[in-house]
Amino acid sequence: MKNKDFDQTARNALSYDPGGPSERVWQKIESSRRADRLPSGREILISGFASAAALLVAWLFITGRSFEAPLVLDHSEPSPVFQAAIRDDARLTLAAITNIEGM
Amino acid sequence: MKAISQTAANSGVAPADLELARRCARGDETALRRVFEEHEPALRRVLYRMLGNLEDAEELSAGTLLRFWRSAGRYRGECSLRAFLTRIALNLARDQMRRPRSLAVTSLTDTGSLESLATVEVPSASDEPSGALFDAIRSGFNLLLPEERQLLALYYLDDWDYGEICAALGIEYAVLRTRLVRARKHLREIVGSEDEE
Repeated sequence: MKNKDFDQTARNALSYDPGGPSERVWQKIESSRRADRLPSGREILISGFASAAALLVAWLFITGRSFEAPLVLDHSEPSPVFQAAIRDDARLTLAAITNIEGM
Repeated sequence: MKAISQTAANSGVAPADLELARRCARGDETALRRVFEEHEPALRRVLYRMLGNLEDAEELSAGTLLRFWRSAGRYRGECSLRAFLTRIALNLARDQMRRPRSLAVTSLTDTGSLESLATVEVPSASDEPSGALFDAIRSGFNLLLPEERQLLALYYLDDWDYGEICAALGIEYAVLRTRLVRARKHLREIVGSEDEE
């Protein structure tokens, strides 16, 4: 067989009709592009503002709670524990005095 | 038959190719879609013949267009966009074929195993009807070296002129002619088709 004939036979043997563009290939391209796409300037700005707003709200919430907390202890109502301790102390002192006087 | 002339490598360059590439470099997605519609089938055809596997061909076809999308600015119109894309595709295909799971790396680097494979798997085409010769050529094609396969894939599968094949492979015309003769001879040896010229 001559080279020319062999080439023609090979061309026919190896022919493959790919049809039109493959949408499956396009989907692969699109998914890869989505995966490695860098955010646009507008998207960076929007997410920056959103983060700043969230931080501001959190800061206001925390500082608002700390303003509500008492800075000075209120002594208008004595602690029952403290009162009981004083009472016990007074009673002991009184007993000691009684003992001294009774000597 | 292909025109046997030392066509300039950039003979197939259309202004539209350059404009499309520029639009892709600027991030124009409609331009990418157009490149895809115009060139994806041809890329898949070459890749399928190179790799012998449609799934891999689709994967690398997508990879080729993605690589182009990311570096479209490098296309300066020195060859047709088809040749430029095909060069990317062939580079990817060669990388794929060098990986261990590929047939090429394990069996084709060793001449002995190549010959044994050819003897065992490829039906002899001499005195056979064309159907058997077709089968022999298809089987034999997969036993060629990657460089031979990519050359013949372009030569046999597409109506490319020599200038465009040179541009896609990045070689001179004289080198192409030599390699083409050698690759064809190798394929004929594998197939068992005798040269009467």
